[in-house]
Amino acid sequence: MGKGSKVVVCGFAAVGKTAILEQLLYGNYRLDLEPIKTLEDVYIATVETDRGVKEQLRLYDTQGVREDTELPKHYFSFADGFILVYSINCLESFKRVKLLKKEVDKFSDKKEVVIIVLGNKMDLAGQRQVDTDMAQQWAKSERMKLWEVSVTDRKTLTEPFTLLASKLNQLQSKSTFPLPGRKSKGTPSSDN
Amino acid sequence: MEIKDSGSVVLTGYHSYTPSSSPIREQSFVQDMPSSQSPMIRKTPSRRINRMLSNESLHTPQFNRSISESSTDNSSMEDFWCEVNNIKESSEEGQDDSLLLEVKPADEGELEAEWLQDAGLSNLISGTQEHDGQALLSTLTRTQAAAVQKRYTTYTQTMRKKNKHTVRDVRDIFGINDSTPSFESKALSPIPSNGVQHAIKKPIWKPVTNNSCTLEKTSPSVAEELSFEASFSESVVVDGKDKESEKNQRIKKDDSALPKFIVWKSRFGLTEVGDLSPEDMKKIRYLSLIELTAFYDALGIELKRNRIVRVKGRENGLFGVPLTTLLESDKKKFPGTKVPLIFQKLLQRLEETGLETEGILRVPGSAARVKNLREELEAKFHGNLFDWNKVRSNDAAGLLKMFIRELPSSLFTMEYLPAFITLVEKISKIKLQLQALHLLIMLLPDASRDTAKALLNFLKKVVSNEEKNKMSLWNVSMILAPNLFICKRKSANKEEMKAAASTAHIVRLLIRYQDILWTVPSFLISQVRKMNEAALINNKRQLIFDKSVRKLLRRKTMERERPERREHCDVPEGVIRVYAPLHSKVSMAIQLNSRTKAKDILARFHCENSHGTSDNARVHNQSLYEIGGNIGEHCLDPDTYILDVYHVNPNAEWMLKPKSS
Repeated sequence: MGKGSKVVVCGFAAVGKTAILEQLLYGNYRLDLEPIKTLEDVYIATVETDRGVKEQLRLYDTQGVREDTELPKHYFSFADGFILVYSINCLESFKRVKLLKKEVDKFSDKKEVVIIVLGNKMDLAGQRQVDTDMAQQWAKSERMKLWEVSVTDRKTLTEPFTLLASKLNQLQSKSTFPLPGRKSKGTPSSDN
Repeated sequence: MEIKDSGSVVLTGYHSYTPSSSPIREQSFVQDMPSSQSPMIRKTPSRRINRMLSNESLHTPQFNRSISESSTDNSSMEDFWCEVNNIKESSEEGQDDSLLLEVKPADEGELEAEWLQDAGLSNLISGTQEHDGQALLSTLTRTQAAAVQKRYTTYTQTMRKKNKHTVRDVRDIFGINDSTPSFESKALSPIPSNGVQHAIKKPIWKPVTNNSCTLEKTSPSVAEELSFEASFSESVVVDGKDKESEKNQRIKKDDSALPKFIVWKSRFGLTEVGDLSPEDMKKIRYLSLIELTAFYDALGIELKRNRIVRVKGRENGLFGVPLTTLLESDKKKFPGTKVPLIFQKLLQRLEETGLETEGILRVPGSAARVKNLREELEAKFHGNLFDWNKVRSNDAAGLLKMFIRELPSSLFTMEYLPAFITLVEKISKIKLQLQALHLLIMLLPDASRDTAKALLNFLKKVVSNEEKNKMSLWNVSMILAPNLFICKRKSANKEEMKAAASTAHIVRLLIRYQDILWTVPSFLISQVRKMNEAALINNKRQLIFDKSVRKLLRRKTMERERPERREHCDVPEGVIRVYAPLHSKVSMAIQLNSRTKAKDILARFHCENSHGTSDNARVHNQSLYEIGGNIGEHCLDPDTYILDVYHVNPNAEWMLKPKSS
């Protein structure tokens, strides 16, 4: 952790994982292109935390999971944080995020993992299949932050990543911080 | 001399000129050379080469006559002799004898010992089990192995006679029979490889017209295809019969006689000399010497090598300083310099001012001015105080030629000078000449090779401006030949004088085909791969014996690599992970297919970064490298099909980085 925290970006295929990262890093997005199949790309991003410190994140852009595939287990062993991505116009992808959350809880080797959830494709609100309230409720019950975002609007992305970087680096210094997602060992937490 | 009668007889042949065929070729190149003289010359031992003759010695009248009495054919060599005259005049003042190289006749067996050493097989002499040498032996083709065997046999025989020390029997190295079973299998195919490259070779080659490096369009003849896939020496055996037919053919001075050659890009792309790591280039050099020897053997020519006692040049300054010394000091200022700065500057000045000057290179500058400029350069160049604007193009040309002449060791190395010359005299087929020349270029030390390339690149530009500067390919070649090839011996050797046309022809080939010649033949690369693999296996074997080391290593790798490994273990077949430390996207797993080229991979990284604002220039000059596995480091041609390289070197790492220098 600390410098170069490893963050795995995962979710259903074609929800816009790569697009989110590219918008974030390079400020560009391509809507009309057909999805690029990522195998595994690694990005280094420098994110300013809420304390004004610049922290480095190692973002693992993974291959989107499908109905019949799973996220390779080795990711759980080294990741310090996860970004679970679904698209609001695909209920299936939201269900998959729920499943992934369970897998993280089950397989993660680390004691403290930061997880955030992104509902992508806000720009396609007309085709919405995933209800915002329902999703937020679930996230709250799992003690995770959830944002609905759009790659067309870079501003929607900065907050989640800032928070993610902040949490990852707080964890290192203050272990008393309540742990989201993981069995929080009895400490009642309110990280929202 | 025939190779058949090896044994002890052959030894003298390595340092003397062959008497039997010389009259024929002498006449064919230099008509007016009185044939009555040749016996005398032939008996001249090579020791004479470095003997300094005074200026009034007999060579002066001789070449004077060669100008005046020249036959119509020879008149085209006039520029050559003029240049020789100029060189002589300019070197009369301030001649520095200490810079002369000494060319010594060698003792029996010493040539072979030296040969084995230069071929990276010193372990055969020392008897130590050096693994690199073993690895090298295991990769040789049959013809190459035969060449090594022959030298080693001669070496052992003379060593036995001298009772120096016990040497390994040739059979220990190559097996009981003369032709060992291990080489037998390879002999069936002309491709010196044991696998992948062979399998995917021909059918997939596509006749790329745009990609291939086409030489010049002026040539009327149809372009001939050159393949770097098969060992030159192996393929010579196949079509070696027609070599005798045109043996006495005169060197054609007409530049259009040079055929056009096209190198087909294999799926591995083309590898330039600078694309490989220095360690691998060293192995290329070993293999090139063996291959060149095998090639000469196959053609029935003897590969002569001068023995050189290295004479140190000046320690500092610009002129008469070894290239390596110049580069060392230049690198302190500009790391990664490959061509000495003074040489670069001279070429740059000439390119700026001289390309369109009529008679550039041929017309001498003022001797006095050149002398002054030289002194001023020596004093001011390093402080950057020298004013290049006052240097006229002809004077710059004079300085350039002077720089080349005064190098302590000739740009194309004294060692192989006879090899260069016999090459042209004994082989008339341009393709074969080119192949041998190719191997000779591979043999050059890096500094010479890089500097020579810079020079040839400039000369090519001169020739392409022929309409304005009136310097044809042949003109330029004639002017440069005495500077590059004979001036060191101060014209003392008449053999050299006779080789005038040959050396000019060599320079012409070098200028014309430089792009081909500076490409590493791919069969040598695959031999280097095999060599590295064999060395790896040897090392592993050694480790097994050393258990404690092994245990220690294992523990260490487990500790260190565990997380990494688990990260990698899921990488399926045909997927490579490309690292790009300079990008914010630092790594990318890419599924290869048979159409993925290096440039496609580069493009995938570039498109990611194209919208970014930061350091674009740095990022855009990058190339894809294969690193490790069975190669040190290999910068890949943008047209390389990565899947093929991946199959040949599955353990390589892939990295995007800027090309050094």
